[in-house]
Amino acid sequence: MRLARYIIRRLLFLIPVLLGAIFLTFLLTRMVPGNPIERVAGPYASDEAVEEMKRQAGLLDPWYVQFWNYLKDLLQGDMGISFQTNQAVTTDLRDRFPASFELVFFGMLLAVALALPLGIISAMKQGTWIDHLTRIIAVLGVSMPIFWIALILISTFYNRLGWLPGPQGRLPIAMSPPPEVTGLYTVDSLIAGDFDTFRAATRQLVLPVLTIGLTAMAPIARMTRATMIDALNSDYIRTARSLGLPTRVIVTRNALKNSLIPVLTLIAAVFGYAIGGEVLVEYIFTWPGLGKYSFDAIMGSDFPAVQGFIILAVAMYVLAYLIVDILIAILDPRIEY
Amino acid sequence: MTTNDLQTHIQDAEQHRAPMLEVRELETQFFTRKGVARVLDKLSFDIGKGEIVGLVGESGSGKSVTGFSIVNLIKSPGKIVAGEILFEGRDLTKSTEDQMREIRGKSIAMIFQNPRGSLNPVLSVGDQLCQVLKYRQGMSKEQAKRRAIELLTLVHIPEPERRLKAYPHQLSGGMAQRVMIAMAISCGPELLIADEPTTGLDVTIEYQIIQLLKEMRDLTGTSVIVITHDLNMAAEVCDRIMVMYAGKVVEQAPVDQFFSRPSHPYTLGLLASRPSLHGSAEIPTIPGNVPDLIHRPSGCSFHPRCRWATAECSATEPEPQTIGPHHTASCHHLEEVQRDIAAAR
Amino acid sequence: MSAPTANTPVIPASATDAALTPPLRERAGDFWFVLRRNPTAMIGLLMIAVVILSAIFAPWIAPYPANQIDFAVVSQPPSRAHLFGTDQFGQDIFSRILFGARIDLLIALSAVVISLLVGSIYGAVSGYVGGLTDEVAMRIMDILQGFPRFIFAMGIAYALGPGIQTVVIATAVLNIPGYARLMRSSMLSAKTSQYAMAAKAIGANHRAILFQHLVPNCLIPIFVISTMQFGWAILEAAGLSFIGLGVETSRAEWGAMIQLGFQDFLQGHWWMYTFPGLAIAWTVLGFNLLGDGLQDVLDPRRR
Repeated sequence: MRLARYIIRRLLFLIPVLLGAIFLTFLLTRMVPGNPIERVAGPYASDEAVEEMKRQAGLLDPWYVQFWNYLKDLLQGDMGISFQTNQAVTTDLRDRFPASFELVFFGMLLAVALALPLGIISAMKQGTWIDHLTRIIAVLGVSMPIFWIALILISTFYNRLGWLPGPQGRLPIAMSPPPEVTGLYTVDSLIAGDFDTFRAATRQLVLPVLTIGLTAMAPIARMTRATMIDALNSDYIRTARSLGLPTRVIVTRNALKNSLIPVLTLIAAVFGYAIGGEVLVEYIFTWPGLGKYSFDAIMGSDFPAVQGFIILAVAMYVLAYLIVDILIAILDPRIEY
Repeated sequence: MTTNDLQTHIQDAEQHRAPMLEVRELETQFFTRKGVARVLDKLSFDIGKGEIVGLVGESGSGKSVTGFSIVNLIKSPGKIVAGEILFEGRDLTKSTEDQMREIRGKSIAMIFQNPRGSLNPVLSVGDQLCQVLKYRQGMSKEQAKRRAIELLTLVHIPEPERRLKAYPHQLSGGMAQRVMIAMAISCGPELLIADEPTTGLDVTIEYQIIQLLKEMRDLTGTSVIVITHDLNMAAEVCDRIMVMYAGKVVEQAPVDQFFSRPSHPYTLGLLASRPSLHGSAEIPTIPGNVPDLIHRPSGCSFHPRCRWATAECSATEPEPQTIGPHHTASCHHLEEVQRDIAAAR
Repeated sequence: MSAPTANTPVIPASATDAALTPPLRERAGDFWFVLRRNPTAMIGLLMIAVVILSAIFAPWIAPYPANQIDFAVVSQPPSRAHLFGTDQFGQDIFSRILFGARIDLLIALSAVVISLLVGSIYGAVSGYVGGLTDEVAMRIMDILQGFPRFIFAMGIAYALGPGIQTVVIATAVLNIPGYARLMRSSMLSAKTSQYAMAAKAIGANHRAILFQHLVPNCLIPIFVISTMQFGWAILEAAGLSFIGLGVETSRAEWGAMIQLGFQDFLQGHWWMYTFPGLAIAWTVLGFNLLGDGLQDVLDPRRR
């Protein structure tokens, strides 16, 4: 099938980028001071013991041998052992991925649901006060520090009003997670038919999702506005107008499809970013996801964990692009694959 | 009364049977940061039923703006500020946007230069044709598809069923223009405005498109305004030619009259600068440039570029003078011009 | 992977192309003309002006010094004496916010200048050399952009230890790719411009002319990018200070002040984090609105 071949070609193209990312991460983590072995060994270990541990960990080998070994292990799905959890980094990441995914997925859903109408309205009313107002609203979301939005939301809806639960992770402490199928509590609890858990999980999600949605909205709305304006000023929309098609049809059936293609790329970029990047949100909401994990890893000089996380984040970013490339290839008839 | 006179009389009666479009003192202006550009300057003309009229002039003469003014699709910062566009008795300049939308496509349709860019790149030919039929003619999906195939056949597109699935980028320029024409005539408009319909197309394709326009007129009786800078093309397709300069019609005449007895100095310039098939070594051009429409020349707009210009020309604006049946030109010095032409021969 | 990311302002390609024609002075005039009629940009400009003024005149406007510890008035809610309340050390939050404008603007300015210099040179050289070097150089930028931004900054900050310089460097690194891309594309279009061709044809010093041609043409797009980067820099610096990897909480810096407030979060001392956050939001909003308006100015289709 042609599409399958196209996907494989795109994948091959992405390999150098991933490899570069792995190499760069490797270099950077090696440059960070604060020797992890000394930390693990503790202040009372003898120099010989530390040296022996370094040798065992392969840290005395030349860098290219270390890199080669790292790459070899990586291909087998081995990212080393986290100093903090004493578990395989791969396992740690896999455990935490669904939490981040659930958060970011709903956050992006909200962002897109807000941004598209805002951008479209702004473009259609270009230059009017409606345009300026919607743009200010959209820009506002990206102008507030994300951690501050989180604090304000918590203090309002939890501390003051008491409508929503506090920043205590994915479920209230007394509740146990639903049997794992997808790892997304909302989905899993529905599969299990456990509506109490579903309700609780949803309530926990509201505030962090709102935080992410508000910040992710602005760039999408701005881009939608820009591409929509381009589309509305295009020759083919002039044609549609000259044929007397209703405005609704012109916007939804003719302009939107053209303008959404670039927006899609942006959405993927934001999504790819967010999934590894919502460090501060997870930190404040004590959300047991990748962001919190990497936060703790950096604060504890946990090399393998940091390295594993960055590689995963770059991979997610690259994967998001790949998915969008495929979507665009399907949506845009001009792209031959 | 001689036979000749009688003939022109019959022609006269035919052409003036029903001026379906009357443009009266139309003024369209563009409000730019450098000032107000008066692009159409008290423009007046008529279009008869079933007539193909060429609107010719250099770029910047306002011919495209005329087309867009008629359907009220001028882009900001342009605006119609005065005048009337009487279409079948009603003044389009006073119509609401909803009324105009009803008129566009159904009563007045347009085709454009760059046909491929004028088609939506992400919708198939069939989608684009069918959506017009669906939303403007209220056809069902099935009806629309059948009608779309008929329309494509009508504009001589081979294998119409297969073409319905094609996307604009897969079409040649000529093919795309045929699709545009099919879309434009799909709702049976009384007036078709073709804005530079063959610019950028090969000569052979150009000829085919021109023939197609004529054919559509003969078939449906629609009037056609062909906006072009190409006099050869206008000669090929038009019944009547109007020359525009700086937002005004400076000369208009039936096509044979136009070429046999051109009268306005600007028309003479246009005719002289037209590349001929005989390939004269050097193409004379009209000296100077299209005037600055923000600071328009006083009197006759053409006077700064005209070799017959006198003090009178920069003082007062010439009124249209009748030269023959349906042949007028706006110039103070028509006799001198004619004399000089005769002398040159 | 050349699409703009969430954190890189979207500069349309046409903007840089279009910028290559008329002389700079005329363009600057046009620029101001369009800008003045763009309410979004003007509101932004006004908001920034307020911040700059408060940074300059802080010692005169502020009712208290930035670091006046007074245990008699610890954790006071807003009152007539302390407009925005006080923190755990009895320091006046309103005064600290005014003084904070100094540190935050300084950090943002330094970070933007550093990333501008490094990124521009990187991009210009990459574009000038071209070929494989350019390809590799740009892939490196791709990778950097794919890095989780904040974690990357955290890593750098962690390695360098807390302090103002740390925040500046960590923030600067993040913003290099944006400038590099802009400079590279400008360089490519300058290289193929008729101007450069002509210079080559008459045997003028090609390289010197290229750069002479390039620099004025890039000024306006760089100015636009920088306004947006200013906002980002302030947000990122505040983020680093908030998690304790940036500016120490003893200094009057907005992010660090929110960190102090966060420590008292459960006590319900809302004023401690609300007001410094508002100051950040105000400033960043100013820069973003200005940048948003400037993009319109650059891209005539969106006027």
